[in-house]
Amino acid sequence: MATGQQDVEQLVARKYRHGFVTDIESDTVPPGLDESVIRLISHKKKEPEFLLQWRLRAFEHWLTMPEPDWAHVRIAPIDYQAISYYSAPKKKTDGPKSLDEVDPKLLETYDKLGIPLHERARLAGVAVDAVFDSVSVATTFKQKLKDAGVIFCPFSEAVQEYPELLEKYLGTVVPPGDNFFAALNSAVFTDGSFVYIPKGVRCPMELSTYFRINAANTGQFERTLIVADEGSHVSYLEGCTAPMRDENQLHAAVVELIAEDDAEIKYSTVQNWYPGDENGVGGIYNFVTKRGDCRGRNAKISWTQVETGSAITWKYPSCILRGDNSVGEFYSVALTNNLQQADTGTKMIHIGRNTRSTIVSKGISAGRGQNAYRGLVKILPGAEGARNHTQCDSLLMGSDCGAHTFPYMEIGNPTAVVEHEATTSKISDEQLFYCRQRGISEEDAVNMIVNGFCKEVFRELPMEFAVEAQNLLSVSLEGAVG
Amino acid sequence: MSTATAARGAHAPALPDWIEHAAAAAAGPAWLQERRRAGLAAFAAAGFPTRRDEAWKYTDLKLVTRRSFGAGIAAAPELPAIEGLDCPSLVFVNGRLAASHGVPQAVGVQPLAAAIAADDPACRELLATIADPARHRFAALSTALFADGVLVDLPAGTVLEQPLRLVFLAAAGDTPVLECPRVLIRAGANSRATVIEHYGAGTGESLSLAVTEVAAGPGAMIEHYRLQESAPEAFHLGVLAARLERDSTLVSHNLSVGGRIARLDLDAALAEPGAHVTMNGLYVVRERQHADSHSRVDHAVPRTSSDQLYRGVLSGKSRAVFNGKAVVHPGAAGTDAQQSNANLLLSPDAEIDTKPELEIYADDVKCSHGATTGQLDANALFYLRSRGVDESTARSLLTFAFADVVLARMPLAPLRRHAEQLVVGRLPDADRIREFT
Repeated sequence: MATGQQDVEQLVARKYRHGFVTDIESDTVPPGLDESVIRLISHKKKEPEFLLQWRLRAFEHWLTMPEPDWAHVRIAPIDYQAISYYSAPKKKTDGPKSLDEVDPKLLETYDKLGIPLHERARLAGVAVDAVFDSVSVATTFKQKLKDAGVIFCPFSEAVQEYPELLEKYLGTVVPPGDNFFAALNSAVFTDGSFVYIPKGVRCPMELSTYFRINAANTGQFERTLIVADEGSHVSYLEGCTAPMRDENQLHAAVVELIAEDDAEIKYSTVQNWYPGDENGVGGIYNFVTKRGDCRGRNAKISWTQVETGSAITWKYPSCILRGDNSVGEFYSVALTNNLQQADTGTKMIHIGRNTRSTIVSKGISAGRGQNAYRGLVKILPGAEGARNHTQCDSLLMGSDCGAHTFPYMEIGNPTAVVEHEATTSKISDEQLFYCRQRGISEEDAVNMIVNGFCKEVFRELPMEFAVEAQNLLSVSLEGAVG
Repeated sequence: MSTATAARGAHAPALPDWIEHAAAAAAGPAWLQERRRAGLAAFAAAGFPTRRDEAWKYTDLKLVTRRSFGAGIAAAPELPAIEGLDCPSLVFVNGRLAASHGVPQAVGVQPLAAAIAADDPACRELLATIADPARHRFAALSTALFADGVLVDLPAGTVLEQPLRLVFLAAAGDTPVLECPRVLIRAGANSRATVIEHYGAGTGESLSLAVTEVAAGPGAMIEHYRLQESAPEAFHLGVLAARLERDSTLVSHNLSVGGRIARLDLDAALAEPGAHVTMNGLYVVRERQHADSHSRVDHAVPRTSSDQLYRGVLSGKSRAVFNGKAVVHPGAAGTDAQQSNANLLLSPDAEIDTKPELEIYADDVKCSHGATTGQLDANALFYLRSRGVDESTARSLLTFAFADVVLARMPLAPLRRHAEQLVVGRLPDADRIREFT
């Protein structure tokens, strides 16, 4: 056990793997937020008037909103005037036309992160829309997607190229005044991704965006909008890593998904923002609003998330099941170690007839981490034949951590069948002993047990993400049991 | 303006006149006056809850806040008959003792007002110390306003052979009536007792702030029944708070079928190892009734256990709320907390809002909870149909069987039968079900 303990200490002391800062000149707006900053962002982005007005309305509304405090997390006060709301890597010319023109330092960064951007991207069959701080610098596989009629581009480009689509869909799932952080995002978002899958098209490849926070003191306010038109299908991958920081950084993204008749959107996230050090210093505040709207009949939206990073995670990827027979799914693994806190879950709003939803949430708490599942299943009176099953399991590692469950069920239709199950357990000494006496090291045994615990979620992930997720979990957990 | 208002300072929000009047009328020794003032101040600071309060998210009290409540009228203290149950009883009308049947002097049961007047140490020590005024604002208000109630003070080793029955009736005249029944139970070491709180039908509109506090000493065993069958226009806001010491047990049976709005906050603090609480609850609501069951179990120390079973049957435009919470505090290793809530919706206009919560700060625990809402088992229905039972009756039978899972846990047979009849009477095809049961 003594050597085991040493290993544990070494592993616990292991520094954040992705903790480095790329030194690039940034075009950064000084910290602070007022109307002029929003006008400046809008101006720099050459946005049409409707978008500027939309931002200003959101900002005006945000000013009237109190900061929410209902989540089961402790947050140091956020000074919104100390954040710089715009930061763009300096452009040499009007922007890179191909990968060769991209700043080599940027490419190096992606290299360290292991993003398949170069040849690897093609081999992996992944189109990457890499977001470096707030401005997208490279997008690959455009042509192939274009041939299929798929639009996959940085948000700022969509503003120029497809303003009519944006005006039609932007903010229709998450209205600008939806909540405090969504309003802030609506006012100051700088970039993100826009995806449009036309009628009947099955997107030929998995779409992926790697988010990255770089310049110090910049919050990142991404906005993602995915529209799947009738009968289309798309799988979207989102992953993030962030360099080491001592200051808390705010990440308040908004993701909107729209699925029309018979369309399917699969949205997968591996979130590995910097969680802060073992004393809880630093780390990202990940306050994200994600919502999908199954507008059409037989539409399907599936959220899969693996949350291992961030000092505080506060997000509820949700599905509005408006169309008859539409399906919502939520698969989540949330891990908190050291002083990390997570309050995450989902909302399933059943409006249409015969709508179905599945929730599988796996919370793992280690160290002094606090992990809360908070979810809402709402069956409206018109949702004849609605069906929900929720499975919510917590795994506790160590006596100082916490696991909490706050499921809300509001059922207004007698034909609905709604089930919620939750269990709480720890890795038992018997399980560990069994593995140890078969020659499996303690660390491997813990990983094995945890991976088994999360199996139902991992198998929902696309292949390359599943591997990454398992690795992430091992790295994040090593040393949690000793 | 009463002294209580003055004590709160000028900035506290104004309380309705009827509360000020009732508070001014509430008397007692200095220590009680102090607690009354604190209670009123706590309530004034919190105010009436609104839907914005998380604990009242699904229960709207506008119907209560729109009304004012007075002292009520005199009425005959009739003991509602429960077949086969013959035991010592106290009957209260509008919160004041009206009749006493066969309560022997020796067993430590006495009216609360008399006990306070006699400066009974149990009152001074425990009254208004168990129900947390911060969490239960209506318990705080009750402390400020109550006139009478019951003190059950069982010396160590006492075993009450017979159940003790407490009946509370509201009698309103032309204006709605306020009643604040207050019960304090101190169970000495290894004592045993069965206490029945029976909130009868009464007449007219009423607001009941029914607060019961239980302090269970080492090894004590309290079986507590709560039958709430208030008038259809009654508002019932109850609190039952218990503190359990080493190896003591509280078993709570809670049936809620009456009232326009009925709520019970049931709190158990498992303060020493070996303490156990069982909470069995059933709510059967119809028409425009609203039933709200909140429970909270605090596992504060190692080796405590809790078991919650709540079921509900809803018809008409009724609505029910269940919010059960188990909190496992840091260091409370060996906790076993089980919780289950199941509901049947019988009509398209009924709604159930359920929220089974767990807050766990220790790792060596066994905790689980489950909640379901659904329909009757199609196979069971088919089985009955195949044996010649018509569909409507088959449904009613199965619905009753669903509810009876909770009632079957009541060991006191006459009371169980009474409870079953109450439930059957609220289901469709009541006469047909009676043929089978």
